[in-house]
Order: sequence, then structure tokens, then C-alpha cells
Amino acid sequence: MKRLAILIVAVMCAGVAYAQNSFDRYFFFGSDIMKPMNNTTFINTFSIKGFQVGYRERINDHFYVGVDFNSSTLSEHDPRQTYHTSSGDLTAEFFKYVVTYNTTLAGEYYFSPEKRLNPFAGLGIGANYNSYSLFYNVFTPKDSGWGVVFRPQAGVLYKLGQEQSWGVIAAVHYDYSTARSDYFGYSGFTTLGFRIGVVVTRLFDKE
Amino acid sequence: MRIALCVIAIFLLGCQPKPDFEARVKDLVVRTVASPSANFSSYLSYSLAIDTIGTYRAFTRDSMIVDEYSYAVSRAVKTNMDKAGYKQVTAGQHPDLAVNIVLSRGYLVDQTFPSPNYYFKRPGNYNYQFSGYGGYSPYPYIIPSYDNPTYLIVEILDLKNKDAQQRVQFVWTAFMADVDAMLDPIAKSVEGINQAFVQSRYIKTP
Repeated sequence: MKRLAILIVAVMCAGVAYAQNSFDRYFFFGSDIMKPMNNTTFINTFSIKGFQVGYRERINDHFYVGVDFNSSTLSEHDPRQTYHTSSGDLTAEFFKYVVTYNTTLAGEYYFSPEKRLNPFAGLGIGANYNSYSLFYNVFTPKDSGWGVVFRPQAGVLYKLGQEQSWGVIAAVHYDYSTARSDYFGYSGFTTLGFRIGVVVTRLFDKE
Repeated sequence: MRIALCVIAIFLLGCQPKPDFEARVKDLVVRTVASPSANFSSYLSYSLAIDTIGTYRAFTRDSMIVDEYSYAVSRAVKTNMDKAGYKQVTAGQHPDLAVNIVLSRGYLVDQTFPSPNYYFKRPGNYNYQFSGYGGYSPYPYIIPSYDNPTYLIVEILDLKNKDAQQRVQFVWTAFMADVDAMLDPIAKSVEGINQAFVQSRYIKTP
């Protein structure tokens, strides 16, 4: 809730004027649930510690473009156990983290702009930054890397309110990033995410 | 807009995760490495200094430790060697193995723990070093630093198979860290030694 409140404040501080037409442009913000799809021996858990914010501008009745920013923290705890490897044996407890940040330019096609329930599909492309860290006892190896991220996504936007000036949005997105970490065994970074959030179109109307 | 960016930046900086220090230093990390060529069932006896262990200290003179800590850890090693079937003898009785125990403070002894899984790939591993028998020979791979953890090191040297220059080889080494981070370093070091032998069940007589 605290994070959501901060995001709301951030959006309000933007001070952008909106058109009266609820679909001319809109902001959205919400939660982003994510699961890694590669190198799952390092981390293979769902992350609920994520959020996404975005902005969309209408090009025509069906097509919108905009920008997204999202971040998630993936983590996994391995209780103390013994690992037998070809180079020796190790007994330790591991705390593993990957924090991912993405900024993408997005284009989306809305199939039913005249209806309250409006499904869409789209594609995003942008930059991805990941920080990887491993904690065991006092040892804290870390790594980080940049990459290009590609994000196909599909979802629905449901308009609410008398004037349909706000709504909720839910979407599934598949992110593939070229960000790599040789140390932690990532040749790329692929995640499957589900985002759900609130759409606002007329927070800052100016008559 | 600048305010919004600042709020987001502060938010992101606050997202860097980190486990509680107390949660991750409950026990020593125990790493053991054995020489692939070692045949532990070919040895019968060992020598070990009881109640005294060596210590390396960066920035100060190396020394010996003779206190309740050295008493506890040396006897823990002896218990495990005895349990494995080896007989303790004096150095003059030509033992097959020599066991050294060292507490290393302020040295980067070995930052390259082996991969617990194949995902964890860091180049470089502990290399078996030759050293002259009988002393606490310097490690060629250590780097002094005030930030490095304290390692308890137990190493077994093969006195039975010396090379042409009468040098001996480390056949087994156990690294345990960080001793100074433990609330009860004596008890945790004894636990660490026991764990080192548990995960090295190949150390046994026929």
C-alpha cells in the first residue's frame, strides 16, 4: 500500500493536462506479478514485489502508443544444505535476489474501443537493467547488466464510472531481455508477468 | 515532473533487497576441497598439534593461538580423524598425514567458493599448492585487507607420497568462515569442523 501511495503521488505531481475524452490518453499504475522463465535453478519463485506505471496516447480509435516503466524484485531463499560439486563441497545458506527495471516504448491495438471491456494486444521495446545479488554468511557477490527488452503483451481494459473516465487494466506480458550475467549464469533474462492496475484519464482536468 | 522523478528514484533506491545480517551469519560457511588423486584409505596415521593452532594476521605478525578456542577446535579435529580410523602419532614416528589448523584474519584466503549449482559460475578455484612440510607455509593466493572475513582452515598434507624434491601435497582442505561473525565462535567452529568431515566421508581408513 505504501508503494501504491507513492506511485499515486508521483503521478499527481506530473501535472499533465488531460483531455475530456477518456480515451485520448491515460495513465495506469498497479502491481506486476512476475516469474522468471530462464535460469530457474537460481531463482524460480513468483514475485509479487513489483509494480508498473505507464502512459498511453491515442493515435486512432484502435491504436495507442506510450511508455511503460516497471520494476520487480525476485528472491529465493535456500536453507542451509550441502552442495556436492566437482570442485568441492559446500555447506551454506543462500539468499538470492534479482531486481529488474524496464523502460519500454509500447504500441497497443485495442479491439473494441467503443465497449467498456476492451481487449488489447501490443508490443514494447526498451531498456532493461538487472541487479543480481547473492548473500551467504558475510559473502555478497553481486553483478548487474543492461540489455534490450522485448515485451509482447495482451490484456483487457475495463472502463468504469459514469463517464467511463477511469478503469482497471489487466494484462499478461512476456519479457525477453538481452541482459546477461556470466557470474550468475544468465545468458539473457526472460520473465512471464501479470499486471493489474488502475487507469486514470482525468485526474488533472483544467477547464 | 521533477518531483515525480525524484519520488520514483527514492522509491527504486529503497527497493534494493538485503537479508538481515543476523539471519545469514547463524552458521559458518563450510567448504571442503580434496585432491582428486588422494586415496584416503591408503593412509593409516596422522600428526596433529593438540591445543595449539596457527594464525595468520594481515598487518601484524603471524603467531600461535593457545587458548580455549584452540583447545576446542584441535580436539574436534582429532575426534573426527580418530573416528575416521586414523591413528595419531608424533611427528617423529613418521605419520602418513599431517594436519594443520590455522585461523586466518584479514586475508582474502579464498573468494572463489565452488558453485553450489551450475548456475553459479565464477572462474577460478582453489588450486592445490605444494609447500614444505612442517610449517605454516604462506598461501600464495591471499590478499591482505581489513575487510576480509576470518577463516578457520584445516588442511591435511600427504607425508607418504613426497615428490622428488621432498615436497608434500595438500590432499584436503576445509575453509570455514566467518568465525568472527559468530555469536559463539567456539561452538560454531566445532560444528563447522564436524560438518567438514561429514561432507567428506571419503576421509576414512579401509
